[in-house]
Amino acid sequence: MIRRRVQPFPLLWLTLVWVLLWGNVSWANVLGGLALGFVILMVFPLPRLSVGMTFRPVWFAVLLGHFVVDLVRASVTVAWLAVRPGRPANGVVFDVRLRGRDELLQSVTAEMVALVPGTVVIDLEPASGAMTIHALDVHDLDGARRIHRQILGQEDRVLRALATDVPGPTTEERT
Amino acid sequence: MSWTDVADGVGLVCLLAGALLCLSASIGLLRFPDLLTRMHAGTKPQVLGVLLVLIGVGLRLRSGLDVGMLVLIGAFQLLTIPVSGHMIGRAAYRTGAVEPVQVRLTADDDDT
Repeated sequence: MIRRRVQPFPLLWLTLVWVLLWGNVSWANVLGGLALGFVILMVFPLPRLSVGMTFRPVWFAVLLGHFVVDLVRASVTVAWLAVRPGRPANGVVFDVRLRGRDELLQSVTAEMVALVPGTVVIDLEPASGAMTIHALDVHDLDGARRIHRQILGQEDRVLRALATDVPGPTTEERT
Repeated sequence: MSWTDVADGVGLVCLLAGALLCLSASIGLLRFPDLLTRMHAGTKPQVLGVLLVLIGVGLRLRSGLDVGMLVLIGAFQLLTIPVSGHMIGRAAYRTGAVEPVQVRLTADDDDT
């Protein structure tokens, strides 16, 4: 039972967090962190993640770089929408169908979409990949299509960076 | 002018920009019309705002373990912000508190 519950990586991670929280490296902190991590993992066992992921460093760098640019641009846009004079912005709710079926990668995509300003993820149906989005300052179908393309592009970069097998382009999948 | 001066200067700029973004988030929280649009203001410019403040503090402190703690704060911010935003948004959406239900379109018929 101990072997199943206490996995090495979470234990090291919890120890690292503990040491960082104390702010200095000493034997007391490291051993205390290990002991605490052990207890935490025994009391709250983590499910073993079945990671069907492949890490591609170059595509991961592309993903991160693109994300930072998106984050800065969208933050400035939303900040301006908040302070600009006149009627404040409104938004629409719509669905985006993700291509990947891996729940972990779907959540990575959803997290990144949620972090970029202008889009809030309301709901995600893992089986069908249907993600319900609220997009700010979208008034027509063209605007919604723009956001739709952005999200699929985001998912594309996540899949390229982490998925074991990258599904083909959207157009081929559509029936 | 030494590297510490440069780091101080960049840190101050980061702090100022981060503070401005957090201010805009609070203004958005007041001005946006309904719950979902407020979620944008409440969760979003804050992401970059908080990150910039953390980077600014890190550049001013410049000590390894303090920076480690700041990285930790940033990582937990990035992990938890979407969760809270998503939970509130979904609860409001499912209980019908979002009114009026705005244009609902399925952008699947996008031809590009």
